[in-house]
Amino acid sequence: MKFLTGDDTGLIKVIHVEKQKVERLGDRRRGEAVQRLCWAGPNYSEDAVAVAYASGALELRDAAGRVVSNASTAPDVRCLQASDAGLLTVSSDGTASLVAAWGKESSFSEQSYSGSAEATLEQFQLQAPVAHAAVDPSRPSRFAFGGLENDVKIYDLERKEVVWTAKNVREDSLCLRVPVKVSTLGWATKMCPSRSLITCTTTDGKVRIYDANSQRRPLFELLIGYLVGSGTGGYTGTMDDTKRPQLCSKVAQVRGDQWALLTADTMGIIREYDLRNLPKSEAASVPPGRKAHLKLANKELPFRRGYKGTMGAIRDLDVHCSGKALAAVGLGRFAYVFPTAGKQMLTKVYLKQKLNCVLMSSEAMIEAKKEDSKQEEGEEEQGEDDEVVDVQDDAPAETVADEVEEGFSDDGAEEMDGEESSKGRKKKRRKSFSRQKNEKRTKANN
Amino acid sequence: MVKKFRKRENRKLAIVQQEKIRRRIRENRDAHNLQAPEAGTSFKHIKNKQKRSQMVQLMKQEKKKQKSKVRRARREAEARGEEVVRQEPRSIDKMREADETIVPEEDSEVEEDEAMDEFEKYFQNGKKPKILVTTQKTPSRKMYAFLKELVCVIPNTFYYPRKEFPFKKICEYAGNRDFTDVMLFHEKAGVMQGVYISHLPKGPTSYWRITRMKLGQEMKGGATCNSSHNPELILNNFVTRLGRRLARQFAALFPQRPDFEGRRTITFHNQRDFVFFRHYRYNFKDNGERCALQEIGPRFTLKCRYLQHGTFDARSGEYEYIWRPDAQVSRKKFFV
Repeated sequence: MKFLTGDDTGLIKVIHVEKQKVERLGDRRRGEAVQRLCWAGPNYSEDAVAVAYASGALELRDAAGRVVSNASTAPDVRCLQASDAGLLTVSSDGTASLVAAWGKESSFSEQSYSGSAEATLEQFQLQAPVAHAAVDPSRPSRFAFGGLENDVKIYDLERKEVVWTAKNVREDSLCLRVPVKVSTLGWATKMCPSRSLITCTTTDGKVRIYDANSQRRPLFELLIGYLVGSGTGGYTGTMDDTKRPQLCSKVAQVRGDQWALLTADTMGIIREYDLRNLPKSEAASVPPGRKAHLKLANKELPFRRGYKGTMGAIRDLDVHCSGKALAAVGLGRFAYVFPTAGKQMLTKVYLKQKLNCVLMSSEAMIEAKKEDSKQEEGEEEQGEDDEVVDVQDDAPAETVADEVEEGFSDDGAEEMDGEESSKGRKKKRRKSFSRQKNEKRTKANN
Repeated sequence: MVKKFRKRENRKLAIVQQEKIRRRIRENRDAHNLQAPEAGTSFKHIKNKQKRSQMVQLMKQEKKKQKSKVRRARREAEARGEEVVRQEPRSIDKMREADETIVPEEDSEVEEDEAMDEFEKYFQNGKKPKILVTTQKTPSRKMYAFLKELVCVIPNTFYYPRKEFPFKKICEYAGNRDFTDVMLFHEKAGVMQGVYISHLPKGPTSYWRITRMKLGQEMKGGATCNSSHNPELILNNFVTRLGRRLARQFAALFPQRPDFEGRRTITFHNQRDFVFFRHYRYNFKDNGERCALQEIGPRFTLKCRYLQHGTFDARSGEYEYIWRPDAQVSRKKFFV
């Protein structure tokens, strides 16, 4: 498994998880933070990666890290994604650029390694301020964007205009206008092609689900941490009641065919919500903010699990294409890799810098089944370039005699949902003997 | 109710009595040529509690005697000039868990990152720090006493009463007036509780818990603080990445050029994630052979609770580090 990270000092690093190696992708641009990464090889393959910097500079780098092409857009890039008409960048002041040459049509041979080839951009203006934009994966000719007091809008690249605007929810119980503070957007159209489902997380700690096909108001609004999921799904500590901004979110398939919304906040808490009810969700009759609505939202978007062991705000998340692993990076200067099934973190990599973005490659995950030798605990630093990879797998696996037969099902049954703690704890005790057996199995499997 | 003098007398009598009992026991044992019990023997076979505890007491006394003999012998050997090998005591800091965030001697990546961080302006250009000190909304008398001292200890510090300003606004206004840092102290139930140190204009905010506070006024034989000199700064043991960042934040509170004539040092000593603040005046004596320290005070212990990116924003600020109970499962894992 391999993923790329971009950090605050402009370095792009490639982390090979199983080989436990960290490499730099080419030279860095001094003093410019990397904000976004995106695969931009021919046909959006992984032969090349597009990099967006905080200053607005864009680069296309090949697999070896050499800069193939350059471009420039407005500073503070919030979105870098593949769309119908090329690679789309959206900056926070609303400037959107399309680089047609990168991505779908890009083809490079030896000649194009001229270094500073300027790519042509097509720019247009969106309503500012934009906090995030996301391209619809099943219809890449349109994308949604939104920001602070800038409600979610869908822009169609073919018609070159905004085709749908969200409407704010009704006033709250104090008759005050509810502020609109969009922070991230996601599309759930791959799960449910008949509806245009948009997931929107806010800096208020809320998740709004829209269906652009049915109405402008959100179907419902979930308050993160209401009744369930206020800790990390297992972490003990002060229960944080403050509604924290969600810094990143991702709609992805995890554990086979389950669709989930993963969201992470400024405290470094990653939460996973189950999207299976969305295809059938109706618009809530009770306006948001009322207790009935909060409960309904919890039912429609159930909290599935948290991911424990992170430190520092998580700035970006990415899910492996198989849905079996999740990478999270943040201000704690670590990159964390979690399995979506199972509690134990797979790895955490110390990367020395504050990390801004992560990009998973589709390189297959090598699942270690029966490991008779001890895994390396970490590498020594060779000079200043390699970082130490900390493998969190446990103590050496048991001898072959103790091993359990293959075909063992995943550890999903052992997970405890976040706040059903007391219930979960009781379950734990009753299942103690079988849990011991299962723990041994997990250790063996990891 | 026993009168005080009577209580003292009773105590003396009790001690005398204990001594008599002990002497009697010893004489009895000597009369029967009984050796003192060796360390580690078990007295489980004695069912009588009084007798059993007596034997255990004798064993302990014997052990103490042996230990002091060994110690004395070591001291004498050292005085004679012989090499004495002492065992290293096993303490938790020595058994610290290997941490990959501990910065090695030369790490170009870390150095480059530090060259780009919020404190660099101070370190590069020698920008003079200007600190705003304030409190929670209703400070007590103890708080004033402490702040009066602090304003002298850290140069170029100004106290502003809190009035009704929100902390976020204070940071904004201070930034407009060219302050480099804001320190906000707060108390709980009359006891000093913590301090927020927010670097301006966009620097990180750290929150520290304060304990074991002792004011300079309370120092017996303490020196006075002459605030016209810049102090020297000592930052000990900030080894991890987080530690370096916090150390830089402390360093950015003080002017870069110390006045050695003032002979005043301020130490932030980190041990086991606790940072000890000490403020001394030093005197070299005997032609530089000895150095005498005189504490000026105040002294207190700090523990970092969180480090937040950006100026103070507890609700929507991004946290780089938060201390949480579940991060402290191992007693040998330290973050700073």
